[in-house]
Amino acid sequence: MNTIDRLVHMANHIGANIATMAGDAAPAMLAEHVEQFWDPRMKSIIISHVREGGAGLNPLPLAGLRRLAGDEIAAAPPPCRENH
Amino acid sequence: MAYTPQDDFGTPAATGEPVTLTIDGRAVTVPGGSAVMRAAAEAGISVPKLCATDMVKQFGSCRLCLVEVDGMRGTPASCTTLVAPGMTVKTQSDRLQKLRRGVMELYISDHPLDCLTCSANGDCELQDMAGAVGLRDVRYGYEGKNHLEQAKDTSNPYFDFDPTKCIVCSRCVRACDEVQGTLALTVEGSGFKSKISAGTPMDDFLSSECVSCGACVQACPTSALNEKAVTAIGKPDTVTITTCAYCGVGCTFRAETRGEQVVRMIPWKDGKANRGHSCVKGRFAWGYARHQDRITQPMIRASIHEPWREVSWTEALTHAAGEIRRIQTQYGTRAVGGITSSRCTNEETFLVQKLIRAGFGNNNVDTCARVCHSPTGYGLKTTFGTSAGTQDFDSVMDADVILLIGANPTDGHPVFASRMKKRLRQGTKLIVVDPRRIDLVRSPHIEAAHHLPLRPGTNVAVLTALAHVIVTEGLADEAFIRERCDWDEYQDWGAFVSQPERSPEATEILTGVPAADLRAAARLFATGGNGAIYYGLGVTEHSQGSSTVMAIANLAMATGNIGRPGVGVNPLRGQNNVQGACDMGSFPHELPGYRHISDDEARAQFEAEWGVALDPEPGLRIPNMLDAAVDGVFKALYVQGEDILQSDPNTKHVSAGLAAMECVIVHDIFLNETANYAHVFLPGCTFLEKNGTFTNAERRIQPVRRVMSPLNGYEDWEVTQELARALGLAWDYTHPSQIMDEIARLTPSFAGVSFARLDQEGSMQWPVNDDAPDGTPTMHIDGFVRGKGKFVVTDYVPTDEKTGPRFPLLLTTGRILSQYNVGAQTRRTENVVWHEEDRLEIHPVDAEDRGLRNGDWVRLASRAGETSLRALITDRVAPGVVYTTFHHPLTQANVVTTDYSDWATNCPEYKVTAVQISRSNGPSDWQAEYGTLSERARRIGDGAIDEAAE
Repeated sequence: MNTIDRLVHMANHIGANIATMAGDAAPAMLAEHVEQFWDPRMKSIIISHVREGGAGLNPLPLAGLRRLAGDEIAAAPPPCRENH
Repeated sequence: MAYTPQDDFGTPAATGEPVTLTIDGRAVTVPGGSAVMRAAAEAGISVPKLCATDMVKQFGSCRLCLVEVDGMRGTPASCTTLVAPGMTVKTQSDRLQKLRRGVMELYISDHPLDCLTCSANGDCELQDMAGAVGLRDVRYGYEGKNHLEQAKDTSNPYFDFDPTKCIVCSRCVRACDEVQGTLALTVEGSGFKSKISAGTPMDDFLSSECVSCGACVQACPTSALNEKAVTAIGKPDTVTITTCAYCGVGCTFRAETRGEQVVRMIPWKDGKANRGHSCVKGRFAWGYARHQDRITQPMIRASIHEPWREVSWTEALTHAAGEIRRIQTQYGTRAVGGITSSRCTNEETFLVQKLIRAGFGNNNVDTCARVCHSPTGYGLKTTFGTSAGTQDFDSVMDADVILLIGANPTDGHPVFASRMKKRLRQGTKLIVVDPRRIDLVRSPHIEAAHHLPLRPGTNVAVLTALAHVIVTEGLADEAFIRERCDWDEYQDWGAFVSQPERSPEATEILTGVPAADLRAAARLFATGGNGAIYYGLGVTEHSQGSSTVMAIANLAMATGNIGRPGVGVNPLRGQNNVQGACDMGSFPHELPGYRHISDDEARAQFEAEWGVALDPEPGLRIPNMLDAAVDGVFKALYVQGEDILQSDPNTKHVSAGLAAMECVIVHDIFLNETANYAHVFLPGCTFLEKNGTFTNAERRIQPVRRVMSPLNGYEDWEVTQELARALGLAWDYTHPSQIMDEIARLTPSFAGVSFARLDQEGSMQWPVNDDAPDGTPTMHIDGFVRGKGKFVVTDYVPTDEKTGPRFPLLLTTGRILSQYNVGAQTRRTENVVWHEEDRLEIHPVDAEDRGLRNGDWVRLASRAGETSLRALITDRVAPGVVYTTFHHPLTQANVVTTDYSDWATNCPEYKVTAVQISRSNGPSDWQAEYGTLSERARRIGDGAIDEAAE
């Protein structure tokens, strides 16, 4: 699997698992997940792919990544602040 | 400290209301339920004893511990006589002395008189008792019938059984029953013919069910059961308390040494994780520390095709640092990274992530938790607010129902399994959710109330079906949920799990679990009292690992089973310090203490302490490092104490990634499989050679104390510091306690931890801070760390790994008791006698379909690759499922595992691989080639570095 195929697969996999978790907020949840856990290069590659049409991405991850690509989300709500 | 035997109070501790009695004129107050023997011992009065030891229940057989009690007839045994208020006891009198001498005369009349050459000389309770009772002669003589011609059993690689020295006190039998729970030993025959037997008359210790935990050896008052090392070396003269470097139980041991030579490791009775017990690995399998394969000299090479060249530390570190900087100049700051070790100490992993963040300038740090419990971190942080289990191990003793999912503790966490078995034998009910019939499903005096043998990959469906029953049948704990959880989220979740398609009946065809069994199990868990959930990698190593963890958390919250002893969500973390490695910020997205790297406030604290700006962007996880390497943009890796080529999935991809790098630095004690692709080897040291701390599966921080000088010259934290210095960082730690002090400054959950505190307390469970100055055995007592517990809807999403006509079976993997993970340590000990190769467990039906017999070579093939190993035909696996371990590099089980992983954390889906099996002639060609490649890669010679290659 090449890099973009792998990233598309990962995004679709995330989307399939959070679809019922977050309901209407799923695209935002996906965007936040990618923002928090993917390194800059991975984010850059997938965002470029989205801007080129996002072939292979299912609707939910496509929507979420479009949010990320558009920088429309405000700074993501702070991650759960544990007192650790 | 100088060697003294551990205190032995004779009988177990009791917990009743205080009782005051008089012993030898002294007032003594002890808990009610205590035996007189224990009361005397606690007052410093030693009553002679032979059959009693405080690790097992009293037996009253030796008749040595007789005492006189006012108002009681005769001379009762003090071990079986319980204290009573106002009781008056005399432990010494002419009458008692005469009786005791008579008992000893009988023992000694049938005992070898070779004390001076006996391996227990100076450390023998029989010898001590002869002295204590003033034995001067044996009136029976020595000409009568005796047992002095019986043959020794030397079958076990670590201890011998000499029946001539045995006094048949049955301590060993009781230890095997009550401490270990295996019941391998018995007293065969009666009267004069009584003899300790390890099973049937045909069995010796090795062939019996004995699991070599050593509890019998520890219990034995003579040298009848004694370590071979003691026989060879002699009595220890020094004791150091330290912590085991195998599994996540974190047993504490007395490392008993002579000079710097370890004689034996004795479980420490005051160890709060293990309570004086151990398994074969921690107890006996420490010889790898001095194995001939140990590499003690740094080595470098320009190309992985060249032999290694031994060099000085200065040359190796200068070369490594030079390569890292060269690569960063050429390819960018993020072209390098590192992997911390879950075997090394907290202080050492903290330094590795500090090196990467402050030295390399990025967050490309990860840990082996990636491939095991990373979903635990994600799932429990999301639902409860803390990336760790909620209880301590003692909690199991208050559980009424245990739900055990995807774990096999008798193999993976044996000392904790012994405690669980103890509780199960007290009547606690057990529900096992596992595709295999693990030992706990049916063991002596234990039978699971329910075994749900689900199809691999269907965890979430099963857990949702359990939740369906609980919610639709009105079994949820609404009061708890309203008080402690988000009620709206609960209602959304409740509506989801209540859907008909989530029911046991609807999901049976998918999961393979009969609906009636699942309903019964759900009802039992919800209504059986304190319900505790224990789980392992059968939960996490799936494409829905994180979802499964959250589904488990949902169940615990729905039934109100959080926040007190006896309940909780208990991940059985595998490695000795994998919890610690996670705590110490080994993940690419989190600083120590689980604060996200983008958290400005948290990051600023570290920047202030470290004097450098930190990258606010998450770094690469291990699988993504390998992807980036194959893409040509990730070029250097510093790997401390991990062997990703053997342990990570899809070996072909791992080797491609490693081969694509220009500088792989392996910091380890042996040349491992990953080192085949390394350019720099920095020799490491074992847990016996360093100071520091480990954190076990119950968040218990425990000291690791050095007992011998590092063979390589440095503790591992010193090596990392030297590498940091070579990179220009001004680190000046002189002792690991300083590193812990820094951790405490920067990590709120460790704020109250210090080496001094640990020396005082023995161990502490984090959080340790102003809110919990003495640590936290049980989490979430009054509220969840995140505030309200979060119910998360976890829909079942089938894995992409599908069976089909070409690959009709499902492979799942696991561990065995005697070997540990990739086997780097245990394969270099006598433990190989139990598991010299990985075997493939195949159901008889699947075997018969393919003409396979026990011991046949089998080709195991998946879409990723194939390997060959030998068959073990067993009905422990269900039809359609095969199972193997991954302890031997030449099997390379991970050649067949895939790249599929957990959606949230990329934890590999080791537990679900579609495979086909067929008869084979023997090891595959690639296995033979791999063996050759491996041999070539391990050459150490004087070959000059190829300047042209540089």
